[in-house]
Formats: sequence, structure tokens, C-alpha cells
Amino acid sequence: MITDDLLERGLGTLGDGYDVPPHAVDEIIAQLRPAEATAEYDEEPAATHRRWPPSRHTWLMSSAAAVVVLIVVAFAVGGGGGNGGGAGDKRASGGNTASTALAPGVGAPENGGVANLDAGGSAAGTAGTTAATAPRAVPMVPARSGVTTLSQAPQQAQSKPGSTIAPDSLTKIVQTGELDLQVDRIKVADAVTALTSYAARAGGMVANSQTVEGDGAPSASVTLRVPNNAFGTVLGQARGLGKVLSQQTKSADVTAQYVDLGARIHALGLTKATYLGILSKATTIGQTLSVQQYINDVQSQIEQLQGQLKVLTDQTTYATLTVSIDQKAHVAPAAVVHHQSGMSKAVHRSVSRFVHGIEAIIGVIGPIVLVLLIVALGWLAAKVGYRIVRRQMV
Amino acid sequence: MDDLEAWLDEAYPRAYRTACLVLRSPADAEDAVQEAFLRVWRFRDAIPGGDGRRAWLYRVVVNACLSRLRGEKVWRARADEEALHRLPAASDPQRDAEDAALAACFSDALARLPEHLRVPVVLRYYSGLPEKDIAIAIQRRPGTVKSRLAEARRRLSEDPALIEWAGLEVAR
Repeated sequence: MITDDLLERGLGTLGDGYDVPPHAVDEIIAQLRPAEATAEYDEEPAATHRRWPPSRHTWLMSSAAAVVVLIVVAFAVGGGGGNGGGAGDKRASGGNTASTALAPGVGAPENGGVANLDAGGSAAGTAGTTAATAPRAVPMVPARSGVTTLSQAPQQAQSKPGSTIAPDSLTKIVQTGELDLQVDRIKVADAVTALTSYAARAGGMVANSQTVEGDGAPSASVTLRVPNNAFGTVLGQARGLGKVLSQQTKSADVTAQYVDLGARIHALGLTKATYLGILSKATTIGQTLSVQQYINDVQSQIEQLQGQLKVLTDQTTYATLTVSIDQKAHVAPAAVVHHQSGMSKAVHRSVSRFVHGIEAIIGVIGPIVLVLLIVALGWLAAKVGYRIVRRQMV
Repeated sequence: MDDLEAWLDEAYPRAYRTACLVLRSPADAEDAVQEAFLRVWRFRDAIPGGDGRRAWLYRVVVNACLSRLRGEKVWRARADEEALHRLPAASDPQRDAEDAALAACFSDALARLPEHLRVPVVLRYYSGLPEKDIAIAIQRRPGTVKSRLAEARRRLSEDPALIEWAGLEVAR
């Protein structure tokens, strides 16, 4: 092993071999004199020696600018998403709802409501036979007895010419419609058959059907599920079966809700993957059980959201058209429209606004917390960075 | 202010030669020490008093040297030929020859040491800093300094140039 003495001698010889440049220290000290240094910086601010570290004022200004940028970015990302969701909620809750009401002979319903002719209900009192069928089953073959059977499998939605709505691939629209018909030239059963045929040709199905035949005039109620883009076509064909007593159609844009569900499912999927990664590293039974519990919770949420998404997808793929059919001889009584009193409306409106207010507050809290978190991290990073830079400079 | 100037004037030769050993380039060492002294001046309010002042100065000098080493890679790019020609003239020719040989061997051996070992060795055996001051200068824990010095000594012991020089010494 080399000795300390030898190291000192060797390095001393080597180091002392370097001649100190004459007047070098004097030149440095001359540079250090305040007057000269000030003049130098005044004349050439971007000279050899940078003004680093910056002054406290510069640090504060830089930090403030960074915080402002972070806040803008946070609102652009988090706040924008929240607004989009809110708008989407509004659209989904009827902000974009198209509603038409047509009630010849009955009068236009108040507040955009529907003049509901409950033919099935009125006929039910006279009670023939009633058949309720499961959705997406089979086409109906009405029988003389009034019992309706379904025997055709549903078909996939497909594009049909003449559709009323041609949404792009990103837009998700839920369409519903109600139609009250009074048939004269054909029988109710034939009308039901025709409706079934229309739905089948459009690539849809009969979701529900009720036919009542008894002592009074026969009536039927048929719920059709047809592809969204064929909704208008089928509605027009159904209107041709008889006299239209009332008609109501609604379309609601649920794109935001759809996207939100997808995003939440995706995020939960990532969370689940993370937990699975942690699970693979668990070494004890306690750790395994604990992580497994988290995974089960996340999986439960995923399945719940997937169920909602599935329902929403179904609703946006197939429009729902409910057709009530009455024979002309039977004049259905006008539906009783329950009008809310002014006080009731006010209470209802107040509760609704309260709920919306709470939703808005909760929606705003998220971005604010995010901004505060980013500001805190930025401040911490700036503080640590300043210390590190100062230490390195010194 | 005069006190600070006097202190820098006194410290300059040793700081400059320390920088020379670290950088192995007098021109770069001069620039590094100049930069370091300017930093010292700028942060003169932060200069500790007492014995800590020297360690603090070497910390600034070492940082300036390391900045140059890491930023400009001068260590690999420059040769050390000129250093050998700057050896002081000794009155004893025999001693002069031995010192020249020793300096040449150490120059080669030092060149083969990595930066993180070379700096503590120079500070310890040339600048004469104790381990705790070296820890301050290179901003590492004293234990780290101790282990690095031990590693540096081990490598120098196995360095062929120094082994050759030791053989010559034994022969003499």
C-alpha cells in the first residue's frame, strides 16, 4: 500500500510544479472591486459571468408566472372537462331535446307534455286477453283470441335510406317516440302485424306488445326498437296506418355521458392493473388479501359502469317507438293531465336547483384541489431548486 | 473587504495548484479559480468564519473545477506535458531528477484515477485538508471521503507507473 508520505511528496512535487501566473490574483481582485464590477455589469449584462442565481424578486416573478401557467393548464384540462361534462349533462337532461306534440282533436298538451291516450289502459277494464312479451324476442303473430306471440329474433341495426338523424360516429343520440293511432280501414291486429313488419325491415325488433280484444273496441300497444337512423322511416310508416291522434318524439344527446362512462371505465381499468401489479409483489397473506379487496372493489365499479355503458349503447343504437292503436269506433277519452300547482312547481324547481348547485360545487372542488396541489408542488420544487442552485453556486 | 482580498491573495497559489492537479490544465485551472473567486466574492456574506473558511473556499474551487470537467471534458482532451516542464528548478540536480520522475509517475497515476477519487486525494495530500473539510468541499459525508481515499490509495498502489517508480527507489 502506498504511504501517505509518498502521496504527499508526489502530489506536492507535481502540484508545486505548476507556476502560479503572475498578477492573476491581482486581476481577479481588481474585478472584484465594487465600482468596476458594477460598471462591468452595467455595460455588459450578458458578459462572461452570468447574473446567477437570480435575485429574490426574479425568483418570485418566475414562480408567479409558473403558477399562473399551471392554473391555466389545470383549468384547461380539469376545468374544461368539467364544463364539457356539465354541458353534456344538460344536453342529456333535455337541453338538446327535440320534442314535438301533435294531438288533433285533443288539443296541444300544456308544457310540451303529451296528450296521452291510454288506449290499452282503457281497454283493460273491458278485459279481453292481454299478452306482454319480452323485449328483443320474436315478431308477433296476433291471434284471434287476442293473445300475441313473438317468434322472430332481433336483427342488427343497419343503415337505411331516409333516416331522419345521421349522427357522426362520435355523437350518441337517444331517440324515443310515442304515437297514438286510430285505425279505421284495417283491424288493430293487422296494424300490429304491419308495425312488426316495419320494424323487422328496418333491422329492428318488437320489444313489447299488448293487444286487448274484448267486448269493446280492440286496442294494442306496441313498443318497437329500431335502429336510430331508421327511426324516422318507421315513424312515417306507422303514421300511415291510421289517423294520428298524438305524436311525440324526443332526441337527447348523451355523447358526454357516454364519453364520461368510457373514461371512467378506462381509468378504473388502469387502477385495477396497478393493483394487480402490487398484488404480484405481495409477499404475505395479509398483503394479498388487502390488495385483493381493493381489486374486487374496483372490479365491482368497472362492472357497474360497464352495465350503464351497455344500457346507454343499446339506447343509442336502437330508438324506441311506442305505438298505441285504437279502433275508430272507440273514442278514447282524453288523458287526464295532472297540472302541478304553482307552489308545487316552485318547490320542485327549488329542489332541482339545490341539487344542481351541489353538483356544481362538487364539480368545481376537483379542479381547485388540483390547482392547489400543483401550486404547492411548484412552490416546493422552486424552493428546493433554489436551495440546490445556491448550494451548487456556492 | 481588505481582509477578504488579503485572504484570497494568500489562498490563490494553493487553490490554483489544486485546480491544476484536478484539471491538469493550467489555463483551465486559472479560469476555474477565477470563476471560483468571483463566486466567493459574490457570496461573501455566506463565508463561514474560523476554520470552516478554507473548506468553504475549496468547495467553491472544486465545484468550479468539476463544472469544467463535466462540461468541457478537459480531462480527457488535454495532455499534461506542459506540467512536467514547469517543475521548479532545484538546486540539487539529483533531487531535481528524482522529483521530475516522481511527478511524471504521479501525473500518469493521477490521470488514471476517476474524478470522484482524484479530487479527495488532491485535497487530502496536496491541499492538506482534513477529511471533514474534504467532506464539506465535495459535499459528501466524511465516511464517503474516508472510503474514497482508501480506494484511491489502493488503486495508486496498484498503478504501474508508481510501482515502477517504487522499484527505482528501491534500487537507489
